[in-house]
Amino acid sequence: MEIHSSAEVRSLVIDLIATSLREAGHDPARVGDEINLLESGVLDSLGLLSLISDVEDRLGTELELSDAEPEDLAVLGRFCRQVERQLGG
Amino acid sequence: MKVAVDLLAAFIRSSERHPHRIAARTPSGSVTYAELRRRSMSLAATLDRRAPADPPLTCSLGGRTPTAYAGILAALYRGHGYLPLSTSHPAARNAEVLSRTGCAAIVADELGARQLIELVGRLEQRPTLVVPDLVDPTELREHASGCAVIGGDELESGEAAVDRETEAASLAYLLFTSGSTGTPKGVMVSHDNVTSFVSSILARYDFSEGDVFLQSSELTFDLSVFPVWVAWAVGGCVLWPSATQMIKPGSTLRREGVTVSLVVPSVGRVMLKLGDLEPGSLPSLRYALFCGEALPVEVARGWSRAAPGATIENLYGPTEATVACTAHTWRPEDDEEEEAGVVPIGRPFPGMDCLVVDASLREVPSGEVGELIVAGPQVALGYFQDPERTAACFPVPPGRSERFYRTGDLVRRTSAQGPLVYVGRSDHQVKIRGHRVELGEIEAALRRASASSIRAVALPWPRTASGADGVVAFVEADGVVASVLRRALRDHLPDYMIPTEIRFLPGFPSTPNGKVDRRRLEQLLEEAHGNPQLC
Repeated sequence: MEIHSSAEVRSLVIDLIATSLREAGHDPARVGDEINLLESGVLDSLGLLSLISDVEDRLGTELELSDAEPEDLAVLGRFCRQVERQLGG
Repeated sequence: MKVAVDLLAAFIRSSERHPHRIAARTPSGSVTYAELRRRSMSLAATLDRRAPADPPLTCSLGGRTPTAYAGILAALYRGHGYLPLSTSHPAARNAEVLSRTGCAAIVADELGARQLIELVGRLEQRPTLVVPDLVDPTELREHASGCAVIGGDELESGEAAVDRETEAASLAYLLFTSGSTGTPKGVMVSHDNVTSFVSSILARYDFSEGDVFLQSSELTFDLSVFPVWVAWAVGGCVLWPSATQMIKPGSTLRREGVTVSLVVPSVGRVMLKLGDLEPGSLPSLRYALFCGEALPVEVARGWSRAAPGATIENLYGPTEATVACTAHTWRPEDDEEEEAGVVPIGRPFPGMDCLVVDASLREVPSGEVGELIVAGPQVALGYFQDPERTAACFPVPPGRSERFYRTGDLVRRTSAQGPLVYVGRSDHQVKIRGHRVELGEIEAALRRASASSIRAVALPWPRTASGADGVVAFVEADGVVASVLRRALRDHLPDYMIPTEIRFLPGFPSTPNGKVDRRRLEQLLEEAHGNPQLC
């Protein structure tokens, strides 16, 4: 899958967690970048792991996350930026 | 009978010795021993005045806050057992537990107070609600007609609290775990049980007031008993990080100088994957302890590289035997004791008796697989209001005079004196991310949610060395909408019990004796997940 823009990364991520967002009472179309997926009950730590491996599968690349802060993974906008940065690099 | 050292007495002693030391650090602030004691006594005095003394149970409902801790301490100050409930569980499930226990006194932090608004209408009783973090509880009061609601401005001062003698056999806490019939089981743990556990831990390790203990789980999970009560017994500090910090806890452990960690191995697996166990990255850690599910050797190895100075131990125990009752010290060079890539669960704590038995509860020869049954001072009182289940799960085996708890865990003794090795579960119970789950409870919830007499099967999937990462459900029906079912389940089950996938089949495969062929369903999953087009 060819992904170029940050909007495309965001839409991929939202797509992958749409069900979890809805179940936690959030509208995937309107959810803001600042939402913390862990604290708001959308994902737990293993849910986050499966999101990461889904993103890796879809983009065909392994994400290097050892330098990421917990918030870089938990907050939607920051997670998307992590993914973009790795595609750019 | 008076207990020599009980939980509360130990906390009070520490608070007298170290009033200004930090007793707990949480995402919403830290609290000193003196302050935590003052707040707990104030809550206890308020409840003593405003809530009935019976039943002898005080609930602490909340998130990761000093108030949640003050709530459990207040229960003990009242001579009550504590009933911890978490706001991360659905309001309907918490309401069900509260209704079943008839609990008449609830302490709630700010998040807890928010959940009470939704929850209180579903209760059969009208409990007293103490919400110390709310200055203005008007909104809650509007929803809680018939309940006394006491806000932060209306608390009694703590001086009215009286020191009570604690009966050894009385309830210290009541924890609800997943139950096979669809209703959670309440495990009643006495002061005697938990005193015995804490004493064994204090004898085993050299903990002191300089130690910082990681609390990696909610108060509803009995692993929390270790960091909380052991830290407070030695005058140390409990650190309760946020859910976000716990994804990659490495930086938190370093920053906060954690010296003792007790986590479920799943946490370690996530850390390995996210590169959070760099060699030498946890220099302050003295003890890296694991409990709650099978410990894969690769996780032990990862922690040992990250914390080369730490002692690594695998603890084992069901809630019914009070947190942990066996332990095994793992060393990187001890490869020969591993079995199927998991670390042994070791040998029983002093005073605890572990037998490996067959179906008639007679011991099997060493080397053979059997069910682990345990006896001794840590074996719990039984299940709350469930004498039948208690009798079935806590039998006196032939030729013995003591009650044993049937763990349902299959183990093997490597040699007559060797450590016990965990082999698997003997029933339909499984560890999902470290939480003990009865698959039957998920199946019952699916049947309830579909409001028809469908058949439903929950299977642990994908399986891991320590249990499973999630659950996949099969439902024998057409015309049921998965999203509707999942939404209904969300109201009743905690996150880790919600199926990641629900599959519909027109009919279930059967075994020769007419039971659902679970193995065949599992094969369907293996085939489907091996073929991406069916995923």
